[in-house]
Amino acid sequence: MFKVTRNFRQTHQNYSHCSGCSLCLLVCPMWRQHHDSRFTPQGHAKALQQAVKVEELSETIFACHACGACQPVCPENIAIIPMFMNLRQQLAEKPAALGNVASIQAKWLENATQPIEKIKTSSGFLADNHLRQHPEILQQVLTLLVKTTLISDNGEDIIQAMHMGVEIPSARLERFLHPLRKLKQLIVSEGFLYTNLQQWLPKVKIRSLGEVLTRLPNIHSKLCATDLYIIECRAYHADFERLVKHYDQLRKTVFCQFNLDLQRIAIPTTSDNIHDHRQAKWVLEGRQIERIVVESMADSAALQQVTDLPIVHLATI
Amino acid sequence: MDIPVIEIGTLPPDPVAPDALQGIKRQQTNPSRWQGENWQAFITKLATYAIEIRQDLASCGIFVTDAGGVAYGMPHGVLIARNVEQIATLFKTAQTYRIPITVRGGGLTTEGESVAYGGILLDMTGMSQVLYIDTEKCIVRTQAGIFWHSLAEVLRRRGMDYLSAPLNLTASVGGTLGVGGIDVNSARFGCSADQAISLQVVTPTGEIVECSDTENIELFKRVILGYGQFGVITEATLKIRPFTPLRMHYFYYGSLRNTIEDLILLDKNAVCDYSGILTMMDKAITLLVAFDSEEKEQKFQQQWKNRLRGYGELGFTLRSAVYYAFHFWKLKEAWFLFNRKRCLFPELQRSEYMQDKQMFDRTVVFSRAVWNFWGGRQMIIPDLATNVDKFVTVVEKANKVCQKYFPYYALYCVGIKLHPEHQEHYELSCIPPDATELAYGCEFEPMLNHEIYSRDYIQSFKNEIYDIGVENQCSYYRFGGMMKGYIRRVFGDELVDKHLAMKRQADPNMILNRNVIF
Ligand SMILES: Cc1cc2nc3c(=O)[nH]c(=O)nc-3n(C[C@H](O)[C@H](O)[C@H](O)COP(=O)(O)OP(=O)(O)OC[C@H]3O[C@@H](n4cnc5c(N)ncnc54)[C@H](O)[C@@H]3O)c2cc1C
Ligand code: SF4
Ligand code: SF4
Repeated sequence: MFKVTRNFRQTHQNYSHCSGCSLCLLVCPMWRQHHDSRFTPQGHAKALQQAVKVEELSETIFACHACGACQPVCPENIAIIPMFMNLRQQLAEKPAALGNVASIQAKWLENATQPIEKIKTSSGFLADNHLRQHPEILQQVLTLLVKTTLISDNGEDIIQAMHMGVEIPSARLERFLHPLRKLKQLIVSEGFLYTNLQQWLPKVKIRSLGEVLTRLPNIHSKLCATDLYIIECRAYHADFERLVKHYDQLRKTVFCQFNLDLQRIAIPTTSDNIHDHRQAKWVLEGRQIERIVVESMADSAALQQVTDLPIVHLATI
Repeated sequence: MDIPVIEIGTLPPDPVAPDALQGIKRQQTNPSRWQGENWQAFITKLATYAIEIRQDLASCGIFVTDAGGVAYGMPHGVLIARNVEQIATLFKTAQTYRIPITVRGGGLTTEGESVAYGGILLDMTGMSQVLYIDTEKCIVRTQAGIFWHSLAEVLRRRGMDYLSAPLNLTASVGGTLGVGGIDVNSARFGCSADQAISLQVVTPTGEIVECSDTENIELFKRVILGYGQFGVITEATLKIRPFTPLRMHYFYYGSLRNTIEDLILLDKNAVCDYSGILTMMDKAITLLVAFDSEEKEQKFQQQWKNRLRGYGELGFTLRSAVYYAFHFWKLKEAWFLFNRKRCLFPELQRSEYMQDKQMFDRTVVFSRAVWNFWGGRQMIIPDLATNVDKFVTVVEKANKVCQKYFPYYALYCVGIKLHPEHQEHYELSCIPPDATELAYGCEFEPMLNHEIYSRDYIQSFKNEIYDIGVENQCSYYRFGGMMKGYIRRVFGDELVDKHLAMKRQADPNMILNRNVIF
């Protein structure tokens, strides 16, 4: 069995190094929603330092939706998402709200009978389910990503299993990774697996769809100062040191606004509660804009709940 | 001898003479510590008002210590502040049942002032909403549990900024107004507490009172810089201003005295908008000078720059290279300085926070640097505050203490403009009593570099620094909590007793923040 944690660099520390500085609170959507220190990385790290049992954290450990915003701001470099994922793994009873364990397992059985995909190009594209629900946008993305193959197995079941803390059979993971190993570049439309892919596929360059598209001159030139550009936060935070420079450069050339806070952390548009629109409202508060440009259709769905402004996918501007 | 039982909140004369014979029963002369009496009845009563106190380990354990990481205490229960009525009810009930309450904002104290040794921990961060912004009158009304950085995030969407706040993203508004708040623009604006126009306060007996320079004046005087003794700040109206990025200049010195003299020269003549000193031991000393406007910057370049004795980066590097070439036995120190510079300087100039040589978001830049380079699970930051005349001498003395205890350390010095109309706020606070117009503060921060030091060692270091404060009639920025012992020594009985009497009147059972001052 593969370990379900999202492994980070060796220098990452565990909960015992948490100094209680509270910097993670400033960026965490759980905190914005609850204003309760238990719903924060700090709250969990401190609870673990007190040897609190995982059962006593069951209310809070599923509230993290792995946006990764806390990771770049933590001065102790604590591997926060793995901390949550490991806690979820330890919990015997998984809440039904996050998905049905049996249905994921059934999918694995079904998946095992499918032939392994063959990819003919050196560049592959993993499109998340939100994007797949919009075939015309997906088609436009593929037109822009020349010589790139859309990978049919997008690993959504793996993502769901990781969210729930369900262990993934190594055969399933191998089936997912095998065709990807030959690639030179793998583009992801959503960054939940970004760090894992970097580790599982050390020879493959992992890139976010947003980064790849904004490097295209015909996309770049269509962004303007009255746009609010929504960066897909998981990939951005997973590759923060590199991508913060990329988007900063973009800002300096096209002058559009971004969903970045003053620490240059991407503000997620959602929190764990899909009915709570505070995150999306906060992204928009006080902005003088005419159009919203998104990298991810999940962000588009969240923002549609709170604004009448036009929202377009980056590939279609 | 009959020793009467002491009621909480009373302090009778010490019945044990200094020359008392051995064997005489000794007695605690402070109000007796609370031992958990009435807790269950108190919780039950609060439940009737639908106030939920969390008593589980996961909730209480978050608050076992503060940023100092030296003082540890476990509250019996935690209440997340949600609204002013809830806090008022909490206090009324707590007075009846005599339950101690410790208020906590960001918990960035280092002497345990925001640590609850039993009783209730009131977590103010639950009240973090900005209530309104008036960009024309340049004021904001906010709940007081908000972190300064979260307030800045909201203000910046309107092109505004706060006047001054600690260079630390997670200090709260309420916690800062209660202790002072020093920024690199304090020589211009005063301490952060000076930007408060009015406050909503819950008194220790549970009244909700609005106070300002014109309304409930006495309470306002006591709550500002009052170390949370006279009430809980629940809302604050603050001055704000249009946001401007900083035009930054750094000058490098090898002499502490020269740097401090130059800093005072600039501050006294109001040459710049931001100023401060940050050092690596007393070897590489940086004078930071910054401006809001191009005009002021140009004036500085023309009239003042040449009068400063500091070097540019290249000049200082060459000078240091020559120094260490002749002091080769100090190569380890040179190596440390070189590495520190290599890591720290790029952090201070990260391109995403800079544009056209101007620094955006100074607090983000400096707070990141503070936590990444000095932060950790234990932070030792004793400090001294003096009037202008004594400052150099006091810093030099304390620098020797740093040298004695630690191979590597940093000093951080800033000026604080005093507002004559706030003179009464400053009584028994971090502002030294003998300062007029300008005061100065210096923090002494050892770099622990994963070395393990015993508590005794750390405490001896702090005591030696604090003793310099007593000798030189200074004040301290952090004088609560474990530093209680210094308060009478430095301010004298008369002043402390005056405040104690006021405290007893305001808080009959001494329930609010009882471990901080008295
Ligand atoms: C790494 C580091 C860097 C720092 N840098 C600076 C700096 O640059 N400048 C500076 O001025 N300080 C600095 N400090 C000190 C710290 O920022 C200040 O003490 C800070 O203002 C305290 O705010 P807080 O919200 O953390 O208060 P807390 O630590 O939570 O509380 C401080 C005191 O106020 C009381 N209190 C808290 N909230 C309230 C309230 N709402 N009403 C009444 N009483 C309350 C508490 O009981 C306690 O006694 C630094 C500290 C650290 C650890
Ligand atoms: S990953 Fe996002 S939701 Fe989870 S703890 Fe970090 S900031 Fe909060
Ligand atoms: S940012 Fe990191 S060290 Fe600071 S409180 Fe959060 S988890 Fe702990």
